[in-house]
Parts: sequence; C-alpha cells; structure tokens
Amino acid sequence: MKDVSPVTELTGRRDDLADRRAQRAIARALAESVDAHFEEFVEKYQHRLFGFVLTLVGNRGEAEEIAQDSFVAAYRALLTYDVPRRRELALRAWLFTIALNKVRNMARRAPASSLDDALAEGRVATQDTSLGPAALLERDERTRAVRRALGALAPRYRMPVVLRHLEGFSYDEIAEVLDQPAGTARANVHRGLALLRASKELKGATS
Amino acid sequence: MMKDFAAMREVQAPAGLVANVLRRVGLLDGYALVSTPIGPRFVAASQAGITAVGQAGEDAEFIRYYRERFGRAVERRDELAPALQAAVENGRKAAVDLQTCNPFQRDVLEATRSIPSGRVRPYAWIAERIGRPGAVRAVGTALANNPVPLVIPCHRVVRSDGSIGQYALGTEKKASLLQHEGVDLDEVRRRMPTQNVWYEEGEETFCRPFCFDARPLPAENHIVVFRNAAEARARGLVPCTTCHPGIAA
Repeated sequence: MKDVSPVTELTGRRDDLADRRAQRAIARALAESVDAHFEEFVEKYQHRLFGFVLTLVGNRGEAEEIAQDSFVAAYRALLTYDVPRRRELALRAWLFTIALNKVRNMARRAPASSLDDALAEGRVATQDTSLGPAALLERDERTRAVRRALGALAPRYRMPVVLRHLEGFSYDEIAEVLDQPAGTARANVHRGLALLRASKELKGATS
Repeated sequence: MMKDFAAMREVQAPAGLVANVLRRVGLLDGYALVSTPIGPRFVAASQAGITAVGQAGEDAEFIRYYRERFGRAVERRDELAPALQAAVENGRKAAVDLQTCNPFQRDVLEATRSIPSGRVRPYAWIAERIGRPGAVRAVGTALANNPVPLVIPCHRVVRSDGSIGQYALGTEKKASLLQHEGVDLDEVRRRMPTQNVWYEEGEETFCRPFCFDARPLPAENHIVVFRNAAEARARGLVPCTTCHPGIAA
C-alpha cells in the first residue's frame, strides 16, 4: 500500500500541506502568547478532537467531557512549557495524545463498564443508536454501521485505524501518539482495516 | 470504506465546547449592564478584575468591540451585575485588570486612581507623580484610552489652566460626572492655574488649592494662602502627601 495519507488522497496534497502550515502557525502564535492564541487553537481542533474521541468512546456526552478536559489540560501544560518547546510542538499529535490518555484513564476509573469491555460486547453500538439519529449527525445507515464496526475492533487496532484514516496522521505521528514503533503502527493499521472490512457489522451493508 | 471515513470526519463538536473550555481556563470574560451617573454601560471583567467599561447597546456589538480592543472573548453574565455595579460605585476598592495596557499607561491609570471623588488634578500633576514630568501630552493620550472609565476616574484629570479638557466619552459627560461628585467647575477654573499653596489653620500640612474639595469654600474656613511651597515650608509646614505641593506646576 502506498504511504499516502487518506486525507491527502481525498482532499489533495495541497490541503494537507496547508493544514501543516496552519498547525505550525498556531504553534508559533502559542509560543508568543498562550492566552492570546489559545482560543484559535481550540477553534481549529475542536471538531477533529471531538470526532476522534467520539469514535473511541461512542457517546457524545462523554466525548464532549473528554474533549473539554483535554483542551483544559493542554492549556495548563502550555503554560508550563517554555517558548522554544511551544514553538516546536507537533500540536495535533500532542493534543490527541492528551485526549487518548484521558480516554484510557476513564476506562480505568470505571472498570465495571470499561470502554474495552463495552466495545468487546458491542455495547457502544447500543449507546450510539439510543441517542437517536439527530444527535449523531451521521449521514446514513452505512456510516453508523462503520462506526459500530470500528467500535467493535480491539483498541490496539481501532486507535491506529482512527488516527490514520479518520485523522490523516502519518505513521510517525501515530507511533508518537500510541508510543510504539512506526512499523507496529503501520502493521496495526493494515490489520485493523482488514478486520474492519471483514467485520460482521459490515456484512450485508452496502458500500 | 474510505468514503465512509470521509463522512465520519464531518462530525461537528457541540456548539458550546469552545466557550466551555475558555470559561474553564479563565479566558472567557463576562459582562453585564450597570447603571452609572452618565447612563447605562456594559462593564466587563476577567478573573483578575474589571477589564472594560463600554458603550451599552447591542450585545453582539459589545462582544465584537471587546474582541477587537482586548483580543479576548467575552459573554454576557447577568449574575455579575451586582458585583460590577459595586465596582463602578466604589472604583478605588475594585480589582482592575490592566493587562492590555503598556507600563506607562498603567502608571498613569494607577496615579489617576488615587484622586478622591469630588477632587480634580491637572494632567501635569499625573506626569510628575509617575516621574515623567515631560510627558503631559502622553498622559492625556493614556487617559483618553482608559479602558475602565468611571472605575479609574480619568474624568477627574483636568487641564492646568483650569479648563476641563478632553474626555473619551465627550466633554459634556466629563462635566456632568464632576458636577455629580459635587465639583464646582468655576472654582476649578479659579484655583487651578495658581502656583499658590494653601494651609488650613490648625493643620500641619499645606496643599495645592485643588487638593481641597473643588467646591466653593465657606467663609468660616480659615484658609491661609502662600505664594508658593517655599513660603509654606519656611513657616514649618509640611507638604500634603495627597497632592504633593511643590512638584508639578
């Protein structure tokens, strides 16, 4: 498989470059003044971070809480970093790492209904549909099926697939966020995608 | 599959997420409507203190003005009204957030804060107080850009010739604020230009004429007038620590 980010495939390399440029610009602005530019940072990443967390936890209420907590944690961390460190931050990967840790901590705090158990039992899917179609803003039945299938994947596959194919991370970025070698990240993305395509949730659903 | 992922990427964050985050980290200021002697004003505050006293009108307009002027987000919070009202009524005790001011402006505004209600001081006096006697014009500019009029009483700073001078909200409003505090503007015009220092019998200190309440002095007030500070010192009197006679002209 070619090592081209799917976001690039879909939106063109120019947008991907523009995105990276915007990311660096915000990092430079935050280096100058956290307070003056933090809002811009939240505005820029709110949808992506919320979408990412929603995919992982499958519940809008919890996703909102975790997204908020992640931004608050990011703000506090930024204040403790010196200027060069803020300027060099790979903002997106850094922010998603914070969120991912919060998702993991949440699962740890509530072991009785831990995320992994819920996902293993497919309970996330039930939570999803119970919220009703209006709340989920999903285009159609097919998207919901993919989300359910994704939710049913083991986290070791789900997280790299989400980062790669929903968020357009490079393998290096995925490796950084998940704290594993890039080769492992790549293998897990491919394995995850194969499992997804073969999953029972997508059997019979038309593509 | 890739098309499905593309559809999933279109998830929108809940509408209040940015505001909630900013509020939690203290970057979302609040404002409310407050009544003042010159009519209703919007008064805003950060976690550090009062940040702005501005034109009351359309909320959207104030929010836009606030962002342009201070580079920060603000939301209407009517529950702040009593505290903001108290701050406007007793500005000397209110916490004020002058983060957006440069150090010179801050010095000017802090010196201006020390002027009691019902008194006035010339621009030159402020310039002397902050150790920049040559910067009278810059003092005027700093006061014209006072983000918190009324809370920091820039209306109490007048020209050395006794005329009332400029005001960000208009000279008429400046006059009406001073009159509201009991200041007699004719008395100010009469006393301000003089180099004299005054001493009230029985006191140990001497003052510049404007240190006294700027209202006509009753006949029974035993005021002794000296031509300058040196004469008063020669009589064993000490300069007042509020008006600092002997500095600014």
